[in-house]
Amino acid sequence: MLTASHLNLKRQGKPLLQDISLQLIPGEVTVLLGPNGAGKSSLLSLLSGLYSPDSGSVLLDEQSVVALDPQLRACYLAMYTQQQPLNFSFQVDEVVALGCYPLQLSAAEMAERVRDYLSQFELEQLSQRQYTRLSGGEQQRVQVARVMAQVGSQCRVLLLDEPVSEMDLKYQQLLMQRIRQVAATGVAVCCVLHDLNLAAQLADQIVLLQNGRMLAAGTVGEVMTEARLSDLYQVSVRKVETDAGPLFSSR
Amino acid sequence: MSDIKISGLFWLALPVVMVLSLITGPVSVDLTSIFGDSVASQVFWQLRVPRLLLTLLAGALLAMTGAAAQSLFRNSLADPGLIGISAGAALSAGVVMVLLGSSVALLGGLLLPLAAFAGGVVTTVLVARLAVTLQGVSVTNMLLCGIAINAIALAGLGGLKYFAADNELRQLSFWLLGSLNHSRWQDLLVLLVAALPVLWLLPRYGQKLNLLLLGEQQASLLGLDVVRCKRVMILLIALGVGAVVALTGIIGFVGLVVPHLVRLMTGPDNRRLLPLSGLLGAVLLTVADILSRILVSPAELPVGIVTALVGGPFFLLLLTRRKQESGIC
Repeated sequence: MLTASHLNLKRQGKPLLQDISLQLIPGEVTVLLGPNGAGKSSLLSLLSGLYSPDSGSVLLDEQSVVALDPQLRACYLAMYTQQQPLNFSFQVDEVVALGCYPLQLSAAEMAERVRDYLSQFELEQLSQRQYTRLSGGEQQRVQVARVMAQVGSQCRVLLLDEPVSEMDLKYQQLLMQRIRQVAATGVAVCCVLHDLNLAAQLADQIVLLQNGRMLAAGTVGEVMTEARLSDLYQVSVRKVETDAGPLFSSR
Repeated sequence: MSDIKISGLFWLALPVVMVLSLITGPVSVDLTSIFGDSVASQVFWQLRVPRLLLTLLAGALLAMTGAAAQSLFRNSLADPGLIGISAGAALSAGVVMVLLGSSVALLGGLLLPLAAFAGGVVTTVLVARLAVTLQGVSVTNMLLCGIAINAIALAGLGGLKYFAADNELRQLSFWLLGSLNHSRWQDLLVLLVAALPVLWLLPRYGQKLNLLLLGEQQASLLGLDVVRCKRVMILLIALGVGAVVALTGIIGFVGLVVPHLVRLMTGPDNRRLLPLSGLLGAVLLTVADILSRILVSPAELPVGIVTALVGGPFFLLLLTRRKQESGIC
């Protein structure tokens, strides 16, 4: 279990996160929602141990995430970040293979795993293509496949920062399925999304962030109310209950 | 073409250019008469062989450190010459050369390489600090930083020339042009001391450099100790470039052209790029050295002029291609 307690973070005097506490539970998917600049990416960075909070702590089963040895942390925790600055012409399969680095596999095991993840994300046709020549959506799919390939048997936490921002509907749904499959193996997942419908479809727990503070946390039914979402995003949000779950629209 | 074929091609080219290098020059050397007391034998053992070995090492070092710098800065234009590392090393070595005069040979000739290494470390750290922004590596900052450091070093070296005595001025001027024609066995030993850790360690960092190409955050998330890796890279690049600059002056563009050619053939994977760049760098600098001996024969061009004549247009070609592809730069 990943436990964040009373996290505070300031940059250049401006508070980015204030007194955030939350738990990521094994087997559950937590979705972070909030407008741009609410502090979602900053929170994920603290949860991943990439940065230290000014105060507060992030513990992975009683161990401080920041203090973990990088190699060990890479076995326990995988994260997809928004910025992917790769601009060298690796082949797609080579990029996915880099995700297997912490797992210390043999060449044969690595090749097998890369094939598996290329297949899971329907990238077989692109496997020999140069990454830099792909479309934005394809590049995102490759990077997500790389991060998912890092999730080995020791992995306990998966963090995803807007992983579907450039994907079309088909691959958004494909990724939602994959995330649920990963969670089903006992991994605690935390995902930043902007699409309310995808969030409602995916989440066991929703956390709403506004101006660096936690506005609410709970199940979809408890937290994603019209009034709260309208207030959060400063637009009118409508919610319609259907057999397949709630549907959200805005105007 | 497969990696094995490319590697085989480079290995085949190596003995060919080595033999050509040994027999090319104003004194005719016949390989059948290299044992004995003849002038040809003296030229062969005291001039040609150390020169060839020094050229091979310098070429390998320049190309490998160029490839490593490009991975460190995550940009294929990050040639140690262009971004000021060579100039920083040269300024530092130049200061020592002029200040110490004839005492520069102290410490078995290690003083100049040590000074160049120190200058290289300072400049690499400076470029790394200034070029890396919150959004990642800024190419503009990196190249501007190179322009500024090159300008400062040029001014510093100009000042040194102004104040230098006749002997030092001559030594400094020839050295700065980038030349291999004063190579001695003693220089070779000095270069070997610096080259061994670089040639041994750099290829072992291939996969780590690959991770670094994904961005520092991703590299860290994949288990790389990013700070340590960057420190080791800076030291190795400064050591390799510094040693070559101290002994041969500034030989530009090898670190830019060679990794580019290898990447075109085998892709950007540093596990292949680093050793193959070393091999091709050794071959191509030897070719450039042969050209420097025959272009204005019986006189000799400094090899830095030959590499700049080839590398300069190559750099412009790269910029044009980047402009066409737009966005990547």
